[in-house]
Amino acid sequence: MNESWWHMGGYAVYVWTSFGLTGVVLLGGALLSWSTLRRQQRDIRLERDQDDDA
Amino acid sequence: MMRIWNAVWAREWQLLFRQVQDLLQPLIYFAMVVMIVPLGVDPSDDALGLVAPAVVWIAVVLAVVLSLDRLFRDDARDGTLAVLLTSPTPLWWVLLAKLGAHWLGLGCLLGLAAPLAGAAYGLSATASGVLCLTVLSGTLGLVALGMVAGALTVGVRNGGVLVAIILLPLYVPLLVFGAGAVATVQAGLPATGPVYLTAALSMLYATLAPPLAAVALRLSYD
Amino acid sequence: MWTWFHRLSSPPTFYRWGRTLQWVFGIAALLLIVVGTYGGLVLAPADYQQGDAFRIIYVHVPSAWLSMFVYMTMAVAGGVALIWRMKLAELFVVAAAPIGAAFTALALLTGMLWGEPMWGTYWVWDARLTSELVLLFLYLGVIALNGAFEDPRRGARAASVLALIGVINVPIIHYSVEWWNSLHQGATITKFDSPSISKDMLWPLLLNALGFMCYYGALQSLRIRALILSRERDARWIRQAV
Repeated sequence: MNESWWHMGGYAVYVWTSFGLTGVVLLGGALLSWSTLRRQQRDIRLERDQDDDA
Repeated sequence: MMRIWNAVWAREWQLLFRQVQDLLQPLIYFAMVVMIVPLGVDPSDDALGLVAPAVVWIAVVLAVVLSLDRLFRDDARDGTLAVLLTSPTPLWWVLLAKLGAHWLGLGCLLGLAAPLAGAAYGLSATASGVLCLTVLSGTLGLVALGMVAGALTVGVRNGGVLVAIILLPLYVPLLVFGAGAVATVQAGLPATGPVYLTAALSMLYATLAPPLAAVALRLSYD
Repeated sequence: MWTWFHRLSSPPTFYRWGRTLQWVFGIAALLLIVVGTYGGLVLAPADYQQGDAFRIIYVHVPSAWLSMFVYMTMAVAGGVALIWRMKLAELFVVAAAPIGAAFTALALLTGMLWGEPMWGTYWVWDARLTSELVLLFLYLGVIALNGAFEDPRRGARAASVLALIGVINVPIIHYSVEWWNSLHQGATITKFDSPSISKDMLWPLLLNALGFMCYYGALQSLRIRALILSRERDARWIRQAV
């Protein structure tokens, strides 16, 4: 990967912004949904443990 | 079936005449939109002629969207809707009557007002005529789609903007063909294609809307 | 065959099997997208006319394809939800809408970033882009409708109806926008229809497209599982399954 590859023939801004945006959206979406699931699971475990203790 | 139709039909017209503002207010709104647009542009005939089909059609769309509230508002409030949902009457038949009454009431008013607006924008007689045609037939489709959207949002607080958000993308084809027909005529070409398409789309929507709206209403009350 | 479909459509079953789906789709997506992107950025030869800017298609086209694909699956799920009253299908619709909106937005943004260096303008009112924009608003409508109700069940079912209406309209919208575009053939003749593409440029595109689809599968499984948990909070099976 030499200098000119990063340069993308002068279109670096457009190409890298596109790929970067895509990466951010895909990864960000996945992380967001993942954390929602985790939160739900955590809350339910909490309730269950509280009720078990009670 | 016919007895039900007649009963619903009579009731709808009674309601319309009793609350004339439900028809007049959208009409006034239409006139106002048509009036203020030239104030934002160069009011020369050329410039206005270019935007006339779009502006008039968009004003029609906005007026229809605003008028949709009355379709289910009163019936939801006074319990008629609940009765209809539990009665053995086929709901879609009732809704078809509602659709017809609302269209003939508002659609025809707009259909008469539109060519007047067109004339105010310097449209030729032929173009205004085509405008009248497409608005008359197009409003059927607009109200049909609007009825489904209204049925989906019965009882939602401040549902007005939501209905508009839902409806406007769905209105694109009618707008394109309706306004496009007038633009075609302005360019000197025959507009039979888009005029028929507008009418055909409206018929399609009018056929699909009553059963879909019935499903949507049942969902709201389940 | 229908028995496993029936069984899968029960929330507890899907919650369990969805975990496998998540990981299988997720890993497949990762592999496909990594290889596809590498192929697109490094291996594929630069385009004769567009130089290296054409590489944007490796994210633009898959996003656009997915924006349509997600809508189709969402509409099918909406139909299933209404006809068979399947709760899971309702959840499918609710989970899918934001994903579809994201892909549509990506397609639009990458399309704009491609258009600027190539044709000197960020936005052009051509049939493809305009249709894509309308599609974005269709998605936003579904999302807004779903969120307008306090009762999530009612919201999910309303969203299902809307998704179904939308899908009937999508081909009509496409056709009407194309007609409109041909009517007003204005200053810009868009070249967003890329010319036939050579094979050594095509394979990364297909890999990425497949990868995006697997990503959709993984994300859907994930999101539906989360929705199941939030909807079925009070169900007995939940406590054991989590």
